[in-house]
Formats: sequence, structure tokens, C-alpha cells
Amino acid sequence: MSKDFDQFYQEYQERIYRLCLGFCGNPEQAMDLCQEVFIKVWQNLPQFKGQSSLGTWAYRIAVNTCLRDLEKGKRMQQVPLSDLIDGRTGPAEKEQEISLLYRAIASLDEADRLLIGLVLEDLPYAEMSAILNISEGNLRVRIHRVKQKLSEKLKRHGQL
Amino acid sequence: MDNFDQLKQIWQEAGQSQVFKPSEEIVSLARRQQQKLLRGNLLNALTMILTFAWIAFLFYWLQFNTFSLKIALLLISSALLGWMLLAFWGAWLLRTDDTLFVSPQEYLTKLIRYRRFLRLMERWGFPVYAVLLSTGLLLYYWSLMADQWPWFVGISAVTFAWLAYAILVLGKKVKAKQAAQLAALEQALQQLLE
Repeated sequence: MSKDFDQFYQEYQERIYRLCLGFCGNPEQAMDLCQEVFIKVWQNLPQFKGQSSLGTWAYRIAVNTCLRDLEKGKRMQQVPLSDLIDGRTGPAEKEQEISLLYRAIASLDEADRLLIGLVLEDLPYAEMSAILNISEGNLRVRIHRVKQKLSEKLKRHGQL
Repeated sequence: MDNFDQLKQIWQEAGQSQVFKPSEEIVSLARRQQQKLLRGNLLNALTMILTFAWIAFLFYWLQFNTFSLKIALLLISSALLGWMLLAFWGAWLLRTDDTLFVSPQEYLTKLIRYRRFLRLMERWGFPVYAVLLSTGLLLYYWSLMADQWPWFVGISAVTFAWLAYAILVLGKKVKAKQAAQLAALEQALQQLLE
């Protein structure tokens, strides 16, 4: 089991980290959330029934771990994007772009952050639908709306 | 940032420079967490057993041989035991190991059920608990200090002042905080499913 877990961990660590970072906007907190997700995955591997892929299962745990942070009272603050653009720092342009994107996502509400995270991970609709257990049709509408919100935020500041 | 595909590319570049813990460390943390949980559960079980053994000891072996004292202890222990059972039930309704693996829809259903349970607790559970505990305590003090009125009044006043403070000040704060947290979670889940 350890070897399989190691392989899975290597393959998914960055993906889960990005999803958590998109949700909380803070690298340290995202790392903690990511670690919590993999701890839960390891602890519950014997109960995994294989009804979906291991990745889908782990994404669902990640989504719920992020949401549980709200239950613990760690509500993520929505930050106005104008403040973020004025305050951005970083030596390289690439880093600035990454930082801006994550900060733009941080200006969305919590549910939209999770949804856009899954979209940007390039997951197929069927997999996202399995993670969130909502119909593909409904999912398409939701994603369209979130993409519009994000694009508008970035366009307003001449970034898209 | 020309288009959405470019956003995807930028998104996926994040995390590449992050140093992740090796998988062995994650496994070791997971094992330690399980052991800690097991130790915690054992400790809780032991504390509960000892508490009930202590109450039983007081009930049978000390001076609690009058009828009113027995009733008082029965009321107090029923209130505490009932409250504890309800607290366990509440925790079971929204337990971590369950909510981590369910879909947002199921999570929301569980959350709504939990909030309904909290409302019922507030409306019925808590008043019943307060009445049982207060009656039990008053009867207990009266049984021991019936012939010492100043002591009876003084100790009862201190006890009920503390209970009132715990319920009306501390309890209200905790309740408001918990309600805000659960409302935030419910809102996020509803938005995810809209």
C-alpha cells in the first residue's frame, strides 16, 4: 500500500495543493490543507471502494477539507482585486502573473473558488460532475458563470 | 493573459517550486494522528467510567441516605448523562470521517439536519437540561443545609449566578460563533449546488 500511496502522492501533490491554494489564497495554509487531504487519503485507503478513480475520490476529499475549514471558522476573506494589483510584488513577470491569477480567484466567493480550481486543473466535465455530484448540464452553466466572473475581474484591470 | 487556456497554463505553473514533504512523512503523520485519536478516545472513555464510578460511590456510600438526596443525585446525573448523550449524537450527525467523503449535496443535507438538531436542542433540550440540573442542585443543597438558611441561600446564589453567566454570556458567544461558521459553510455548499 505504501508504494501505491507514494506513487499517488507524487502524481497528485501539486494538483491538490493548487486546488487548496486557489481556495485559501495563502501558500502556508494551502500546504497544511494539502497535507491534511493526503493524511485522510492514507488513513481511509482501506475503505476506498473503487466506485470512482482514486484521483476523483481525493479531489472530493480536498473539496470537503477546504469546506470544513469554513466550519472551523476560518472564513476566507474576499479581497478587492484593485488592492491586490496595486500591492503586487515579485521579481519575475511569471510569478506576478501566477500571483495575480490566484489573487483574482481569492476575490471570488468560496464555492466559485473551488469550482474554478477544478476547471483550471483541466478535469473532464464527467469527473467534476462525479466530484460534486451535480449534473453535467448544471455544471456547465455554473462553470460558464464563474469563468465570466473571473474574466470580468481580470478584464476590468486590463489583465485579460 | 490572453485567454482562458493561458490562465490554465499559469494556474498549473503554481506549486512547481513548492517543496512537499516526502510521502513517508505523510504516512508517519497519519499513523501518529490515528494513535493520538485512539489515546484520546481511551482517555475519554476512562474519564467517563471514573466519573460514573465516583457518582455511584457518592450515591451509595456517603451520607446520601435520605430520599431527597437520592432524588437530587438522580436528577443531576440524568441531566449530565442526557446532555452528554445528546452532545455525542450531535457530533455523530456531522462527524469528520463521514463528511469528508460525501458529495456537496449530501454534506448540505447532513448540515441542515445538524442545524435542525441544534435548533431542537435550543428549544427543548437545553430548557429540560437546565430545569433538571437546577432542581437537582437546589434539592441537593436543601437536603444538606435545610437547617442553615444563610448557607443554603449563599451557595445557591453563587451556583446559579455562575450558571447564569455561563449560559447567558459565555454560551451565547459560543453559540453565535458556531452559528456564523455553520451559516458560512451552508452558504458555500448552496452556492456550489445552485
